[in-house]
Amino acid sequence: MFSHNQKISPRQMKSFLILDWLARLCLMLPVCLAGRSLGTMVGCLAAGFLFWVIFAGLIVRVSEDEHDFFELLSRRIGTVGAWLVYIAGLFYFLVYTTVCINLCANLASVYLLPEVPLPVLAALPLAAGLYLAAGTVEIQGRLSELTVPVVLVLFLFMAALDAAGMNLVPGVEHRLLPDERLAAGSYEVFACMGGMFLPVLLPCLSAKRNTVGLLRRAAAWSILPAGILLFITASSFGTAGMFQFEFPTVRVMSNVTVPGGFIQRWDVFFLMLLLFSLAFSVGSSLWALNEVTGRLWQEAAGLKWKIMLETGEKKWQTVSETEKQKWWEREGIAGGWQEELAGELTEFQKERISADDNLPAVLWVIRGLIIFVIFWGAAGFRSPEAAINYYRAFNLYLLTPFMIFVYILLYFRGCRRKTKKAGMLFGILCILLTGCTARELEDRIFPMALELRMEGEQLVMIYAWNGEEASGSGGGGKGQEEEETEEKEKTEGKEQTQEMEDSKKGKRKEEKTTDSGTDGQGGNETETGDGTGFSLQAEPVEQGNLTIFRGSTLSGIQQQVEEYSDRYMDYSHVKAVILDETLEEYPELEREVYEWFAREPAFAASLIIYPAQESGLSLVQADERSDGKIGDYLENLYENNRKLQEIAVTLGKKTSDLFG
Amino acid sequence: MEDRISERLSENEARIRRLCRGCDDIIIRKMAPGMPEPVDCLIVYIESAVSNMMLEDSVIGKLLNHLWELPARDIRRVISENGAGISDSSEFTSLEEAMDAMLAGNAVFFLDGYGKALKISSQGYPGLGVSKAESEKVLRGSREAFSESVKLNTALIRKRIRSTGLKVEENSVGLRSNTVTALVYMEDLVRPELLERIRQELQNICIDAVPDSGILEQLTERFSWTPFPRFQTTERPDQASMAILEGRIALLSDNSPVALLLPTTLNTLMKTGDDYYGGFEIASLLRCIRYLALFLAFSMPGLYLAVTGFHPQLLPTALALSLAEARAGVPFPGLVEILFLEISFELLREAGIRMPGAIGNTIGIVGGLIIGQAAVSANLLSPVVVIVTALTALGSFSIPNEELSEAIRLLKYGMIVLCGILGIYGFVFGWFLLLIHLCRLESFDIPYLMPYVASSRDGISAVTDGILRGPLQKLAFRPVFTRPGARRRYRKNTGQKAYSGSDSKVRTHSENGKTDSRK
Repeated sequence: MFSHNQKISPRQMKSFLILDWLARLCLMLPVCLAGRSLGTMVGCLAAGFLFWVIFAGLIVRVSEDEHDFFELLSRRIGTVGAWLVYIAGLFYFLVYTTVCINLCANLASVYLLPEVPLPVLAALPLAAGLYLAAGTVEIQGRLSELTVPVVLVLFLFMAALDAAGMNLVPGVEHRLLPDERLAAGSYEVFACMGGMFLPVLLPCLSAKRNTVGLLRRAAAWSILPAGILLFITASSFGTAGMFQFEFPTVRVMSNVTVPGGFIQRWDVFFLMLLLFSLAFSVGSSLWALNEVTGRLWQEAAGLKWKIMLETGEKKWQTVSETEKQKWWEREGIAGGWQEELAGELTEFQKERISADDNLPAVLWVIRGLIIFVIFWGAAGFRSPEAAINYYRAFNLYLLTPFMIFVYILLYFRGCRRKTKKAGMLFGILCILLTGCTARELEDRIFPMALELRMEGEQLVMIYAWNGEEASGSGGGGKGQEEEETEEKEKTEGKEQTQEMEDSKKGKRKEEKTTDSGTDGQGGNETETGDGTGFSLQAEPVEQGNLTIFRGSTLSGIQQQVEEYSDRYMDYSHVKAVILDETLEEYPELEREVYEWFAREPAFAASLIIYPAQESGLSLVQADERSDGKIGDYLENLYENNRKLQEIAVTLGKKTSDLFG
Repeated sequence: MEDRISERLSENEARIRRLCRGCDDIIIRKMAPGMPEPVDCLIVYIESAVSNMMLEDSVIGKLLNHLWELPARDIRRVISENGAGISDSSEFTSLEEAMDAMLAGNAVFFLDGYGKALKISSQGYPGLGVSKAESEKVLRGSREAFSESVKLNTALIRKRIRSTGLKVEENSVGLRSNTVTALVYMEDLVRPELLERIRQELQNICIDAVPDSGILEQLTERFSWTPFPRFQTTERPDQASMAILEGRIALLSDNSPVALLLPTTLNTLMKTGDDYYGGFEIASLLRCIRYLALFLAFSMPGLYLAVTGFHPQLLPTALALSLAEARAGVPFPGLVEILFLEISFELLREAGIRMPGAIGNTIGIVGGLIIGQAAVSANLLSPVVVIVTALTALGSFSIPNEELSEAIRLLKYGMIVLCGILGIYGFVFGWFLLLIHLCRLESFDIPYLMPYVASSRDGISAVTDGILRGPLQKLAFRPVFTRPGARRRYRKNTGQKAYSGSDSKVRTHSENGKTDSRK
């Protein structure tokens, strides 16, 4: 009915390539093209795309009607050449699998699960990839055909949303013209897209008509969303500013907001799409690795037989005709020995070879390492940023490549079922090793707003909490009446409330004469310097829904913050930051502060930054006016006050100004 | 090994009595009809399966009454030539076949001097008649359901497909149970290779007994590690008929009030009988809701754990704080909470099924309201988790096919563990693994995810009847189950037209009443 012929339709092949390219291009292109002008980037994308289409056309023209690419290579460039190409492909897929898995794990580590060890994060895509690779190319074709429309639509939707909120870096419009790095960048784009999959995939195409057009459409549909995201990223952070971030295209997605929308952070959804695409890439490259090594193994086994036949020739010459006849009858080989020794193996011998599993794995390891080096130099990624990233992924995370290598060896030896079992076992083992790193909502504390100001040489950082958190209520629905009562009492009995907080939060009351960042002022002196009523105590001070930290460095204050509560400090709901302009007199400290904001994934790019003096805002004032909902108050101010909209900036714009 | 029926009645009787020793429900009645010299005869039957043969309106009674009046020399001729005019009778030369027929609920008649036995059909074993469909309720459409008699079930299908193209192949499966099974299909629509394969599978079954069609289901499909059903079960004859008209095969089994439809896909499992009886807009909306229910049933608990435990930044601030407040004081982590409640729900469900009638209904009220409310009040669970579990349960109940719903309920626990440990990362890979599994799955060589994969087959696109249902006028082609060349089922009526069953031939009635055949 539906024959299992290891074939996929043209539409499935197109979907296959799109799903494989999507994440790769989105993550690698910014690294490959960072530092170039916008015009150069666009030119590189276009030229690289064209170059790739021409190259793909050449591959198709050469190998379209061939069922066995190795045979084609043997005919045209000889057996040795065919071997070299195939071993090169073997290491290409090895490195590619490693990189994809590493990207998966790093994405999760940076944005989703910072406390889970990287090898464990890498285990899941590996297990999923092995499960996908254990099936045939038809499974991958179906999976890509099913998911690509959804993935692509979501991709473009989020790119469009991001483009709508894009802030152009001042001055970037003057750097639109292409520069001298157009050719190199084009080559990088071409290399990024790669071509090694094509010789493996093309024989699997069921209908070979207009294959070049198919490949061109696939490439276009992949380059388009990646290019849009690249343009948005470069415009938001600056072409040089992209260097500051490990995954700039993901970072820029945190800027996406849907007015009135329920979901807050779209970068998480974008991450899910990238992870899905990367997982598919892992599986498909493992499958390709299997195809390549299987073919090589078949040739190697045939070579073994040739060697055996040649070395046995001398002995054969001493055997009587009767014995030869018996041997022929037993082995079923017709024809003279001379024909066989000439190099052509019979079909019977080839069938016997395929059942023979004596070829040692050491041979593969030695050959693979040699060709890997050759291929890496000849056809790998040339930009230093990409090389550094791959070098870092390959060397710093040794466990992951090692585990991949082990599983690929297992995959070579065993049948597909063993691979599935191995993958499942490995996945279960790693899941058991993770432990449960979930942090429940009640174990987190959410600051709603921040304020930073300088008082003399000291940095003062004020955290604003939500009214319920500050009062310590946490009894769910049944506590609402209590909350209302506490709201009324808060204005009259703040000291009592503070005592309740201390007992409920279980704050450590260690006395510190100095903290790590202070100048040792210690003591209990208080000043009302600028009328804010703040004390200069080294210990955090609580005032209403605010907590005040002091220190001379940002890291010192951060340490105080960590020690302040036994709950996890979650910045994902900080709505606004009030920054005192006096911070500008300390440029290093200011840069440190902005770098913290920019690098901490929890802070969205849409975070509002108010200049304190120009806006006349302060958290103390906001606390009095907002009735405990400071974050909402500051957010609504920005949305409803035109003057403040002109004065305030978002974090995304600020960082692009700073780093662009 | 065949045991040939002897012409001597005493021999046959001795062998039958030896075989049926200890079977007090099997009646062996000796008679001597015929005048003036009676001829010995023997009738063997199961007491409860055969009507009182002395009743004048029963077939056996009429036969015997007729024989009583005949001269002895004519009795053998009447029996051999079916002179009594019994419509449903057949002769056996083998005692084994005769015994099988008797055990199937018929009466078997032996005559001295006649080397064959005569099967006389009777009412058969007692059973429930045609009743209302209990598990597949619809707002519009037939209310009839299959019964436990395969004969009655084939008749219910025949009532809806009045065509000689509808074939019914009966077989006997089960070494001891000899359960009658029936393959029902449209000869000109079914794929020959599928039919041949299922025939082979049935012939290869070597098992003691087949008490239910579920045994057949497991023995005929290739073994693989999947909880997803590769057969569609239905208790509705109209569903079965529609499936047969799509080129699928219905496998009926005696003592089983469901039909097995094969092959099946995820798309067919998500459809209901009344999807085609109303407008396409409503049907499309309902299908979207069902797919949403599928998503909720699989993902909801895991997504809750992932968002609240790992990524609260996804939630609006007010909601995040409200959830945190709701969870304050709950002693268990979110993963344990969800697992506890899901398992409690499964217990309640099982108890509700096993409990009879009114008590079963009460279990739901007791469990859902009292226990759930008490657990929340005691701060053992947060109210949000109760809501999440309730939504998940509603989602699983909204899936039309019970087996598919059970598969999703099972896999949901894997998703819960993944998301509880790895958050959104686990959620993505959970779905990735599920999609790979569904892509690998096939039902009798048909990809399980059709028409969403390989949607165009034989040049015909099938996406008009997927998640969204197109207007009936657009559903002109049968699904991919049908053999090539027979996929068209509808053509816009430009005159009085009728289909001959194959899309290569359309009969057209011209105005003067003559019939033309044209392609």
